[in-house]
Amino acid sequence: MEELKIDYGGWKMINAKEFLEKLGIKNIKNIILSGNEAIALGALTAGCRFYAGYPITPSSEIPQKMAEYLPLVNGIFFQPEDEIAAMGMTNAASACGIKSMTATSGPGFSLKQEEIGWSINNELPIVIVDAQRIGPSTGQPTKPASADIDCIINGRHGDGGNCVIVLSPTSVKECFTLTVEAFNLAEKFRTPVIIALDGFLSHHSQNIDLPEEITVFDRIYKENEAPFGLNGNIVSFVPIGYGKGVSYGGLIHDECGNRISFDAEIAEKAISHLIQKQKNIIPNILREKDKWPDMWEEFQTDDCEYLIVAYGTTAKAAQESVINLRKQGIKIGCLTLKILWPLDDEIFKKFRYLQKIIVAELNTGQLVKYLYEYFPKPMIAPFNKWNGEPIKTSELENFCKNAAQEQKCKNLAGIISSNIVSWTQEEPHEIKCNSETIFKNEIQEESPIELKKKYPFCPGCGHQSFSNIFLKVAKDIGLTTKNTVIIAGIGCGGIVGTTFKADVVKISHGRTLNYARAIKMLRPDLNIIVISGDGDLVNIGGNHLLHTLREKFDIKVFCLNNQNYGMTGGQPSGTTPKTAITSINFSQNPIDLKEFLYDGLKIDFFAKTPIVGMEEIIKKALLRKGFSFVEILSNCTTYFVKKNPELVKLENMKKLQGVWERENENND
Amino acid sequence: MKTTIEILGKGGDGTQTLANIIGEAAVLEKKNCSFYPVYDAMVRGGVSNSRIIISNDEILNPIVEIIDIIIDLNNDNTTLKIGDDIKKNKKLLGIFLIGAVVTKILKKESLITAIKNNISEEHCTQNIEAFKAGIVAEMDKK
Repeated sequence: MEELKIDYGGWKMINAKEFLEKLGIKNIKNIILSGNEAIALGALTAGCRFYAGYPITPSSEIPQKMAEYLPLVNGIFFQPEDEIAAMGMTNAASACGIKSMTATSGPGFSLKQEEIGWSINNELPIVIVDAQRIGPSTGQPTKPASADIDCIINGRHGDGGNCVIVLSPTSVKECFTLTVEAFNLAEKFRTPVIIALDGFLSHHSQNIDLPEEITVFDRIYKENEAPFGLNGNIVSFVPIGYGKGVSYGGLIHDECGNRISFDAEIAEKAISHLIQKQKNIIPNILREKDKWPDMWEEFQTDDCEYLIVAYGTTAKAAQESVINLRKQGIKIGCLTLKILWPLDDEIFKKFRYLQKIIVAELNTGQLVKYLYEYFPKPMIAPFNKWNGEPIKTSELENFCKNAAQEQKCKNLAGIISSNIVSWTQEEPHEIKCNSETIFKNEIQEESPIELKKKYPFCPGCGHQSFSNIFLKVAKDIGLTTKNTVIIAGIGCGGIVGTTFKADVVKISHGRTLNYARAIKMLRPDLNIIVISGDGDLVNIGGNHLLHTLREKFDIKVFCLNNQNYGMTGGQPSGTTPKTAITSINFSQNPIDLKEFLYDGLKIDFFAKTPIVGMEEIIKKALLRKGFSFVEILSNCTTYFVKKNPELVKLENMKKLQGVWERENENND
Repeated sequence: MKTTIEILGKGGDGTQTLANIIGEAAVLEKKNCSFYPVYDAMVRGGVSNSRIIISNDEILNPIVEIIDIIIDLNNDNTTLKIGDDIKKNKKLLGIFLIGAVVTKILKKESLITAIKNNISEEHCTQNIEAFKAGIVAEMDKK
């Protein structure tokens, strides 16, 4: 295992020419590239070394190129079963300290939202490309649009869900350069960056010159500093897998990453931190102007009376319109936004006293809503198109001409259309890049995995017994804080792992195996242990379980089967017997995990055991190489046992105990 | 000098490959190119057009509004006379029409190089034949 470098990160120069030569691209001048290809090359040059993605038009060439190039630079490409798994793997890679990316299109982006929320909460630097097309649902898959802007900005639930950076390239060349900047922004501000790619640009090809040198930013790691920020500051990034005892999860956490599910003060602080950080982004980009390219571009705005605000390919039509309209004597300029979110008054304040602001968008008016905050409503004239055709110069030109004419008439008639609004905004401040909080790292040196804190499980809960026995076995066989990562699910089963003193990743419902696979691919030296419940693994994560088995991942899965959803009040899960009484009047045929996994899907190792006698079985599963699945029959004393005492009799459970193992020649 | 070309066809006709060929030939002549597909989700038989700009100057806006040249591959009854053979092949028709029309704005040599770069060796010879037949047919017209 490589030791974690202390005090690394920051800005550095990359010789893009030399790097691209390694990929077999000999000539970086006058090279014909499509937008998708330029994005893939930009990502690789910026240092992206992990890509997980699911094919979807029009983004599909991005994974194709990544799959071709990543192996050449010791990177990893993976095409998982769905968009959710792809996003989870991208998050997991970033938690390991690797720059990672995924790409998708509208319908896939909807699926990714849950996991993007997870990365926002954990301040993980990741880059997501959304090649936009028209319509809700499948829409028209090949028709370009900028129709996901609102969903990209605001698609996640919860306050702080919009704490992401959104970029929009306007040309093929910017597909390359802005992708580099997307990684820089993600690493610098520790936040997900979404490239809102105009679907048109995905397949638009052009001859461009790629830059010979680029500057990239790598996340900073400082020893003994808290891994999460406060008050909008960005702090040391502690990756998992180095025995630092860092924990990533979906719950609100304090600066040291401790899960806090009740404390009001910490909740307010954590959410305020994300929002404050978001507010600081543009002022901090302006403060470090020499480090960043222009995130917005002014075109002939010096003496303008009218202004077109545009982004994506529309910006090019807008600039052409400006040239044509100027010839006709209309004093018009264009403001091209390359950053769409967060926005700031700094971008717009100099245009507040113009006659008219024309906002041209390839949708029904999604970004214009956010501009009403900076301009009085009557001052704005939105120009929208949503039929799947790009905006043409001629139509935008006509619209601007009419808008200017109308405004002139209004001025002559003395109608005052602008009512200046008052600006009361909290002052953004310079982002400090250090934390005063010391990371109370309970792991000082490599040590056996122990219990960090006792969790108040219900009296008699099988999870508690599993926790005790697992820790004993782990100590016996030499699992340490340095060689092990625990992946915990959600609900009662998910709690077990989070009580351990180790690197713990606690995942959204059902997604444990996505993170486990990604971490195993990046860090084969680690023992990956998944501790999760039946609802997690069998129901909501069933698809991921099925697809995890297609490859021989060396992952140990402990399924704490308590035959119901304990934390939500005892509803039936995928393993609840049909005759069982649960808290709702609903039942389905259960899945027998041994039949499903061992007999059906032919896994090499399956074990089933009640609490009594599980020590040997856990040991066996942990010591062997390859994928092992252990079903622990754990009793839910609060719900299931009370209502179904006859179904959980120990003598019956003991009869179910067994280990099924087969030699498999496919094993590495 | 700016020329816009639209190639009309159906999925499988090779309209995107033709756009690549024209674009690459333009770059070989130190001109700028920009091209994009306009297509349907159907892999075979759906609309598959491509719009190309070739220009000596930088191309500001890639969206094509006014089309100078249309290459239409949608006519199913077109037959080609290549050498002594009569052929009815959509893919060769495109190359034939490039020979006939695009040679007016781009050099023959650069187009041939681009054809060689974009078409597999197996089919290259007959494509170059079709290309040359296109040039001859256009000259005969005069």
